[in-house]
Amino acid sequence: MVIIRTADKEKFTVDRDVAECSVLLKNLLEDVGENEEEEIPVQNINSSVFRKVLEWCEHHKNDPRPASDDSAAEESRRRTTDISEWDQKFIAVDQEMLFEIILAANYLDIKPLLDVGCKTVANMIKGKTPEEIRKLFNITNDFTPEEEAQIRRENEWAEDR
Amino acid sequence: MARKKRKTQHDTTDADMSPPKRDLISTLPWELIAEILSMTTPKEVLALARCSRHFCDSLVINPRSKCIWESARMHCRPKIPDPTPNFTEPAYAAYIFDGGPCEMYRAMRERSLLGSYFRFRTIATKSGRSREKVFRFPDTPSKEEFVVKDWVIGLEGEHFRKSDFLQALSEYRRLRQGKSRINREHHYYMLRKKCVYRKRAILVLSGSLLDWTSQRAELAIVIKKGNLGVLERLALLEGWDLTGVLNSPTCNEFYKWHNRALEYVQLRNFNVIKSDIEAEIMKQAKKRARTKEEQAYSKRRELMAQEYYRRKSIGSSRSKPVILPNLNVFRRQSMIKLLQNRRGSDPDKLASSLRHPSTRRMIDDDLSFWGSKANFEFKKILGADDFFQISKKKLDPLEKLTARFICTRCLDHTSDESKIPPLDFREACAHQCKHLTKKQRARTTWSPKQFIPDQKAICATRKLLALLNVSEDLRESLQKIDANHNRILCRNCDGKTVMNFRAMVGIRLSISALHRVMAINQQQRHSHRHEDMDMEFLTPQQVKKLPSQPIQWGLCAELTSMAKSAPRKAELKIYGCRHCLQQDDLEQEPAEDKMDLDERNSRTKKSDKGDKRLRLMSFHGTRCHVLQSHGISRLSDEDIFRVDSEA
Repeated sequence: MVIIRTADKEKFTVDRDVAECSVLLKNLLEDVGENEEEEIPVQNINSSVFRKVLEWCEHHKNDPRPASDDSAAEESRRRTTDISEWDQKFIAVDQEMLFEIILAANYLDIKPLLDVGCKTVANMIKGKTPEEIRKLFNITNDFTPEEEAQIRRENEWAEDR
Repeated sequence: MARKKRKTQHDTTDADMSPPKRDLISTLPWELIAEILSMTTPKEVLALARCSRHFCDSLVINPRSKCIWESARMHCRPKIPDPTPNFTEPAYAAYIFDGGPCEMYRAMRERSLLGSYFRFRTIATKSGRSREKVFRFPDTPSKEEFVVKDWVIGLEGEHFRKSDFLQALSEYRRLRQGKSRINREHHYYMLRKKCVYRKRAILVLSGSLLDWTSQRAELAIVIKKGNLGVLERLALLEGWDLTGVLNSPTCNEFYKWHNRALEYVQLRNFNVIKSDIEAEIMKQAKKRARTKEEQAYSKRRELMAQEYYRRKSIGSSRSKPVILPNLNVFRRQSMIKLLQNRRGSDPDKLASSLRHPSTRRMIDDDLSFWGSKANFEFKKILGADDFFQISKKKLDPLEKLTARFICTRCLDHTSDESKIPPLDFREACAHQCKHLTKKQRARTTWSPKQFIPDQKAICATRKLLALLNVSEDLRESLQKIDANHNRILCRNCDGKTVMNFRAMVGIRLSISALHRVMAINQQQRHSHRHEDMDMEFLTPQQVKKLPSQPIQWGLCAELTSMAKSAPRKAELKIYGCRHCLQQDDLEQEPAEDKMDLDERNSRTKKSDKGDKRLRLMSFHGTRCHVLQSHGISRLSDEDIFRVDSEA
């Protein structure tokens, strides 16, 4: 068992196998060695997000770890936007939590979880118009009317550059 | 007051898809944006780039973004051919996925249909009309045209942009004439040769893109068909109706999304939303059933109303009218209630059932039972609950001329007595308070206890019967009172107000008469004008000698009604004060005893200009005059007369 302390000072006692889903934690644990009482700080993640990440790690602890040098497998994994049923239910959270999970997965270096998050966002964007995307993510349209008119002129970007 | 917004299905969906409070996606690090977009197609990257200046800068202007576009392009199905060097990745994506106006034809293209050269947007349509801008290569070209053809980039087939072709032609001519800026002919030909190579590469890519477009269109059709098939199978597996499944908002969005993204529906994806779909289908089914039942109930209610009015019309045409309750009470009768409220009952069957003699008999029984109860209660109100008929000559207490009632609920609601309907027994049974709203009517229960005897009308009737020397108990009294002739002279009024029995006690006019009189609600009832009405019953000879015009019943109501013509009519100066007229007539009466009534009318008209007391005024003017000169605050038909233009 290892103790992990989040940014809001909450401590989590986690199974070593579960913690090793994260490449970052795995490397840290290797540095710490067998000292179970030493707390590992996770500075950029708060407890609610970390709890969610741990839930994912717990479920996927027995999954085969992706090899870092297997670029072909990684490419094929990236190309498909399929997400498993459990993962889909897991990631059905509000946008704030979704982006927090993506950032946490990126920080903790959990590639499969990062993929799930990115695929979810990619699926949200798919087939949408700029206006729909703006509405979906609350993006402010800061183009001037002239710029927008220019964008609307489809030939604009199709000109030779 | 702000109205509370009704929560609908639409609102619920919106809540689920509600945007975050702040823009989170723009705060993601560049590598994560790249990671996300590499899983999409250039169409989505283009859409995101057009969302804000931040994404436009990052994805279009920043050269680092090239890998994102390339990755997205590789991810697209079918694979998009590599662009020629004249295109940047965003420009290429915009060209492929955007629509735009056609240079050859005026029509706008909806989808990406690529012409022979993708710098220009063209669509192939037979109905299209060539524009003047377009130059069609002639069938018998000149030598110059033939040479230039290879250098100019065409639009589609043998078509060229006119300006391009003419420019090249003039340049070639200038070269031939030695006027070109490019002095050396060899150098010019080298430049043009490059152009030919470029054109070839472009034509190859154009062909590939045309193939890609058709492949993508085919793929979209195949995927759509496949997805529909999958949903059909899944619906069959779950035992759902496919239409219901596709009508479920979640499933509809799921299906459309997969079609748009050119992805097949997967069972695992479906399983995630299965419970939501199930709930939505159930909700829809419940809503459908509820709507159907509501429509059937509404139809059944309509049928019952029709049945009520049918009975009412049959009843009114009979010599002895049928006693019917009002519509709300009618609906509460056990048989009616049963037929109307039976869930799942088909309205068409109900209509035929209502025509069935046994059903009609049962409704008749219900109404008869209700009628006998009402009869007893109303007799009680008149203090004749122990009456038992032994002589045919004697009238039932409720048939007597003195059986007049008023509704206490209407009485409590208004101080204007003219708005309180005078009722006989049959009218009291069918009475519905007019001041109540539809909802209040449904909630308010009719009861005989809400009625009291109309004492003023009863007293006046008794006095009249005494003058006629007939007992109110006798059937003979009905014939003795000639209801249609104006023979009752009011002794309380300062003028000579002559009326019939209807006007005295407030018997409603027949339906045909009501059509003539615009104000249906206005109840004429002279007996209520005085605390204790005193009268005289005139002989026909006395009636003939009467000085003034007969009272025009319903005139005030007509002029104060909501009809469009009412204000216009009220402004006409054709109304006069009956009290002034009658006083004048009384003064001149002895000399004009034998004068015919018509002659009197014409004399009245002639003397309008000369005599101040007989002056004609507008309706409102007459109202003011009557108040000031005679102290009558509420103008009624007995106070006013109208001089018609025909008279």
